[in-house]
Amino acid sequence: MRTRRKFIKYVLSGIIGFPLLKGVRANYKPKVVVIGGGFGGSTVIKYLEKYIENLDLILIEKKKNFYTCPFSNYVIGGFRDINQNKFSYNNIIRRGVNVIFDNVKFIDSENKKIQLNNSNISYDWLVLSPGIGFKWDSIIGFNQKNSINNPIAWSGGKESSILFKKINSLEDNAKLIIVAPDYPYRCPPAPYERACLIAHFLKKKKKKFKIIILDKKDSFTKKELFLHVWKKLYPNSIEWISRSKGGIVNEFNAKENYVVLKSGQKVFGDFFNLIPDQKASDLIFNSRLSSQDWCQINPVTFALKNHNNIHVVGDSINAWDMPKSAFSAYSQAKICAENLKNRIFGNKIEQPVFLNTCYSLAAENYGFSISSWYRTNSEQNRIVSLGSKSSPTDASYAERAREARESYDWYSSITQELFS
Amino acid sequence: MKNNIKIFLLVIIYTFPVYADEQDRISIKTIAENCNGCHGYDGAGVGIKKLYSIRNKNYQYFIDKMTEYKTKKNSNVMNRLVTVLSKEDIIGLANYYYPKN
Ligand SMILES: Cc1cc2nc3c(=O)[nH]c(=O)nc-3n(C[C@H](O)[C@H](O)[C@H](O)COP(=O)(O)OP(=O)(O)OC[C@H]3O[C@@H](n4cnc5c(N)ncnc54)[C@H](O)[C@@H]3O)c2cc1C
Ligand code: HEC
Repeated sequence: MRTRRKFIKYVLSGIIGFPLLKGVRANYKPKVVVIGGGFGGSTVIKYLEKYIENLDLILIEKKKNFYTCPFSNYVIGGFRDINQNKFSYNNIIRRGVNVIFDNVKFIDSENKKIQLNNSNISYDWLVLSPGIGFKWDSIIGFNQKNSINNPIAWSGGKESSILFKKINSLEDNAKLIIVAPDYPYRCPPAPYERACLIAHFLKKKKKKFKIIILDKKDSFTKKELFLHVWKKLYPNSIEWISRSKGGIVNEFNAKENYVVLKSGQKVFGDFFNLIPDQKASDLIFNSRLSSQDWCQINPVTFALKNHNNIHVVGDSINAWDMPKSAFSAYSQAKICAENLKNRIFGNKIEQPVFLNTCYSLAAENYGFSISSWYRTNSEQNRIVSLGSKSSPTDASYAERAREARESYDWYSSITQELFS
Repeated sequence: MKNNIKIFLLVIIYTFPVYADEQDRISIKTIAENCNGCHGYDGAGVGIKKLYSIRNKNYQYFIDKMTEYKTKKNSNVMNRLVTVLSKEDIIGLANYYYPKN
């Protein structure tokens, strides 16, 4: 009860008790640094540009190009070129944002300093959207080294192409093992979409195959739709083994190509895609910004708990009911930008409302989606879902084709908005 | 594990819950910013063709279309998104995208 009251107090302090307020003058030019130019960070950048005229705005991103995770499964399914998922920061630079390509090593929140490879940078306000990290101890024998040969492909980019090449070279009657992580993780439907699109590709190639999904969970998002579609499009080709049916994988043997289930049983395979359990980006822990797996934030302002001048959005946060998706990161980032402006200038804090829609393809022209609105609860200490709604299971092929097309429209909308 | 279950515990509420405090009201702009996730920056559509623009029609068309999504059974994503919107929200959004003057 004590901690709860403390937390409410903390939430309120983020809203009302802003100490700098009195010092804000009309010609004040705040220095805002955003770390991570992915979906969350690029949205924050776009809307800070829109909301604050007089602003010293810096983006720090470690990669020269951004490869989206959305649509990376299409690359694995063999019907999208990886370069179609690639975006440069040139337009953001052209818009006048100071973009620094560097790897942030450490955030010194006490002194408001960011340590880069060879230099330091200071900030008045810091926004983080650095994405996810992996819990490398979640599958014994699977590590950063041997993941090079068995890519996770959970961060977009070239790894998706490597997976595709591997799938393309599989012989007839191949057995493919996908290990699905425990909640919470980036993009809940993605392991199951990936299974579909691998099946789609192998079916098109007229190969015989079996995909086995070994799952740490007993359920997953859009489960009914996926199970329905597997039966319809890929009968007897995709098998899902839930947690309670023995799906937990303890160990991976890279040399002899098998995984060991919790029961001790070995499962051999010709292809492995092991997706480890996840946590916030390494940057968060290296900088000692969170004692838990995910950043604890104020759901109204996105201020980081115990670090008042740092805001965090996207996959790195515990967003309660909201799934980790590009759409969620985008929706959170808009509120974050708005309320960061309000905090900086001492304006009234805006009440948030969030949205997420996740499209999944089960074949090239076969899509469905799940959507939900979110807002804070009445105590304003968590984000709650107002109820998820997904496409009907009995939709026609034409309707599925339309939703597949709409997924492309969403993708071009969000990427054009952020990167052009 | 507890956390996982929560994701599946869906609170079924059919409009944005209005909390006791007037301060807690959500603004139409905040709702609209989420619409723009599919309808482009400021709702002005996608790409050169302005695909999905919701600013290039008129006030009445917007209201009719939104009401149709709310009342007609269809498997469109819009049908699923409008369920939480009240009549007032729809009018507010129409005023937002088609300001009179
Ligand atoms: C296979 C797959 C399919 C998906 N499909 C969808 C989909 O269809 N729809 C959807 O909404 N979501 C989808 N997602 C989820 C989506 O990709 C993420 O939720 C989204 O990218 C989260 O945004 P973010 O800003 O938190 O992180 P990211 O977009 O990953 O951005 C993080 C950025 O921070 C940078 N960075 C990290 N650390 C540092 C550092 N120390 N210094 C400098 N820069 C740093 C990274 O280089 C990166 O550019 C999918 C994910 C996967 C894996
Ligand atoms: C997940 C993507 C998505 C989101 C979010 C979304 N829409 Fe749509 N919207 C669509 C699609 C797809 C269509 C086309 C549907 C059709 O064919 O009728 C559409 C159509 C419309 C139309 C009809 C356009 C026309 O010219 O006939 C209106 C109006 C509209 N949306 C308003 C909204 C509003 C308001 C919101 C926010 C409350 C919103 N949309 C959120 C995807 C979205």
